[in-house]
Amino acid sequence: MAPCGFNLDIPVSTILFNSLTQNPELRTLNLIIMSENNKSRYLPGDPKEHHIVSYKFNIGIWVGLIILTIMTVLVSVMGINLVAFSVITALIIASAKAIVVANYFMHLKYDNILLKILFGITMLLFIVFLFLTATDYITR
Amino acid sequence: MSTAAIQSKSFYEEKKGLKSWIFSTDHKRIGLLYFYSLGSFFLVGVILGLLMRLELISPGETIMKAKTYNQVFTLHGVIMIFLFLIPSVPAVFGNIFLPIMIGTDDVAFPKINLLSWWLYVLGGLFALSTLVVGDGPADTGWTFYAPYSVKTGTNVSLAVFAAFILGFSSILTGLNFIVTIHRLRHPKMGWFKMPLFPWALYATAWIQVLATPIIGITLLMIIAERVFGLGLFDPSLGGDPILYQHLFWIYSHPAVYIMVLPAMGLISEMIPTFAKRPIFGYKAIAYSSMAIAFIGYFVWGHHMFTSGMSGPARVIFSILTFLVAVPSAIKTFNWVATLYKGSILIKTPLLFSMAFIFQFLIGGLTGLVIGALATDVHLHDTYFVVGHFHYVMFGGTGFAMFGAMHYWYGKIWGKMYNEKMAQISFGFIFVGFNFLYFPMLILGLMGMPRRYYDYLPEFTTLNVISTVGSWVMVLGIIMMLTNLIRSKKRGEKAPKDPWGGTTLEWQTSSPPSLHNFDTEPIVPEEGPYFHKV
Amino acid sequence: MANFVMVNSGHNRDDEADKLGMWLFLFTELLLFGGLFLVYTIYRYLNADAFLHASYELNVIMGTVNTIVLLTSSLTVAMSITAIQKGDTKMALTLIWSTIAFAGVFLVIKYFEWTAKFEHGLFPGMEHYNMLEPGEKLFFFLYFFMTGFHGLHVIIGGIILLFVIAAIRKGETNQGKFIFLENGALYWHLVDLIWIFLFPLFYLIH
Ligand SMILES: [Cu+2]
Repeated sequence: MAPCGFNLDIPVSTILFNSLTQNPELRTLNLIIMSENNKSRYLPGDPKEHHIVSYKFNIGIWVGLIILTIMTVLVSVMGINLVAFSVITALIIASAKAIVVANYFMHLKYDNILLKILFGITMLLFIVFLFLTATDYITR
Repeated sequence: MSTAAIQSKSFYEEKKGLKSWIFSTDHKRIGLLYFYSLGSFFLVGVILGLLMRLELISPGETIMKAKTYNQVFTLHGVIMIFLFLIPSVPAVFGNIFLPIMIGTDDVAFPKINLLSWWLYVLGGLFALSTLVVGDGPADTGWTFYAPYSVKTGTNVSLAVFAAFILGFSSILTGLNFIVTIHRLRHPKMGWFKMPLFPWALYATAWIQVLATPIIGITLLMIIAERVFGLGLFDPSLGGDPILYQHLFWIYSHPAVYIMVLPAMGLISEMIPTFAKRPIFGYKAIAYSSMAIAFIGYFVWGHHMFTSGMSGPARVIFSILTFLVAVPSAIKTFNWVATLYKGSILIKTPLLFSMAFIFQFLIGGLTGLVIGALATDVHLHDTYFVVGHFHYVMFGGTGFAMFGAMHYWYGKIWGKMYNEKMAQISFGFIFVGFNFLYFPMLILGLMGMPRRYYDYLPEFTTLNVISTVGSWVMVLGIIMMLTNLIRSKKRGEKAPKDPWGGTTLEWQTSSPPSLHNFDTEPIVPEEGPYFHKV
Repeated sequence: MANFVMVNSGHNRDDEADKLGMWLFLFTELLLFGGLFLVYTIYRYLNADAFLHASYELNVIMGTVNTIVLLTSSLTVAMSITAIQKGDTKMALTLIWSTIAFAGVFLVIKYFEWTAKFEHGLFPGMEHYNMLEPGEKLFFFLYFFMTGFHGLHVIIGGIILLFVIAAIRKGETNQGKFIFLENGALYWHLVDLIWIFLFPLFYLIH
């Protein structure tokens, strides 16, 4: 038995549903029961159980993000003479913050690896859009 | 379990009445809703096309003025692209057959599926409302190029907003299909046991999800420009119109693969069934779908060779464009190789498929001609381009849809169509189509520019041939539809598997029951096309 | 009438499918803003000096405070998931409410920022705006469009969280089944994610 109240062990539920489906009229009912009470479907590759991120860890992440924010403001305010440099630093810091948010707050680190890959592909695609469009403007 | 399972009610009979349709979350009903609404818009588009051809039957003003002509071709483009081609195959056949072919009972998010149909209808109504509101439909062409689209007094905002809503609908369909294919395949159906139509839908869905937002935001910017009367893309106000073109084509080039990839999937289904052979190069076709979707993102610049893009950028985009021809060619070769030495059953769906291969070949090769930088400079904005994309879009996607309508006619409506009538109407459509569009390629080479209601007298003969071709083709379409509508009443009852097909949809009754399968579907070990050679 | 159990039915509960669907939706949102970032990048490249000059009009302090407010709201909504996993519904509700409160604070600060710009006549179409040079016009057009569009997403995110609260109250979302909260939180983090990039690109051009 899983820790949460709704879960049934697989054999039990299979027997239950097999007996239900003997009666064809109960087919629709069966679907309702499965969707309301049965535990969420598990496929290979899914995380085995929900990772619980502790409050403390969450707050730690938050502190890190705040520090990065203050850093980026300071770099910008103090680096007045370093225009190009400050853009790049600002973007690097922003990307670092984004990765932290995605990994920990958005749980990508603990989720199905598929989500991480797809997220990466999406971001890559955007960078290629940007890069190819910029090619036009830079070489004009 | 005995094979003589209890005959269950078909999905038509479960519930009746209008409400049970327009609020249905059953993927088959939603697919049919799409079919009927899409078909209506298609007919409107065809009528607009006929009007344009009639205008062009002789030089000078024949039946309409220049502005009317501009509005007609814009509306024709908007309807055919946003309301017909982009939803076409995924929304109709994808909805009806994707869940059945992967052995499940519905898509992952049935309610979102219904929502996307409602958004489609809403977008369609917005697009049609431009006809009656204010200064008439937009006259910008379906591309809404700035800054003209910001300055014209016609109903651009409404048309653009319609396209925005339709984009949303398309995104939701794509999202639904990706999740469905990831999560709901039959437990025994691995990725490479999946038929090629779902593969094509999967590749398409990724384009729908990842490319559509770019056009969404671009269209919102156009609306904002019009509302506040400024020029984000207006050179006189510091903007750059070429940036609009970049944004527009970042979506709209991948969008042509939204239109044609699923159609290729249909061909990959029909060819092995009627050749009675396993498809040649299954994996190559599956991978090439993904490759087309992927490379298709990086070639958009070939629409802008003459608009002032930098030299190096033009060269890069031209080279990338040639790359995308490779996976398309792989597919074509594999289809032909499947037919080779097959015991071929000549039925209407196969005829449409072969016409697809022939016409897609012409469309694809002419595409290479205008994908090449040097030749495109001469052919850009001529009728060569018009001929090219009609060969791909209509000769490809349109014909594949007509083929699939016959292929799955029995499965969807439970009756068989009249084969002889279908073959005759195919003949009319095929001949009419080629007479309609082939002259355009020649006209383009001769230098006739597109998007004018008028032309020089030396182009008259070919234009007349083209217009007559349009009549023949429309006659064929009317014959085909009449045949299909009549067969719904008079046709023989369709068996489970009239063609000897091997994918899962042929294991269930025609038409299927509400939950698609009455007995556990059997996923063949050998893969989806296991015809004995 | 089927006489077998379809394990892969589309009507079964499948949290992972819901999450995948949500992420796909987030991708579309990211690329929606992506289009705007693309326009921003090109125009900034073409009008570097004008962008620099125009950005002095923006208030760095207000921007920084808003960044911190949004980061904190992200923290509280992330903690609410921890709370519901531990079965502490009350705590979860408090944390979501505080997220919504932070959203309110963010919007109020934004409101003051925008009003200040309006008073200076910098909104597209106003007097001062019309006298600006083209590059600065583009900057302010993009500033209002992008922060406005982001603000709209803040509002939508807040509304989604209100629905999450209702679901928790009704017991539909609980310790055993909290995918709705997770997806609502994902949407909220997205709002934060976009602001992380908007902030340096508009306020910190120095
Ligand atoms: Cu293209």
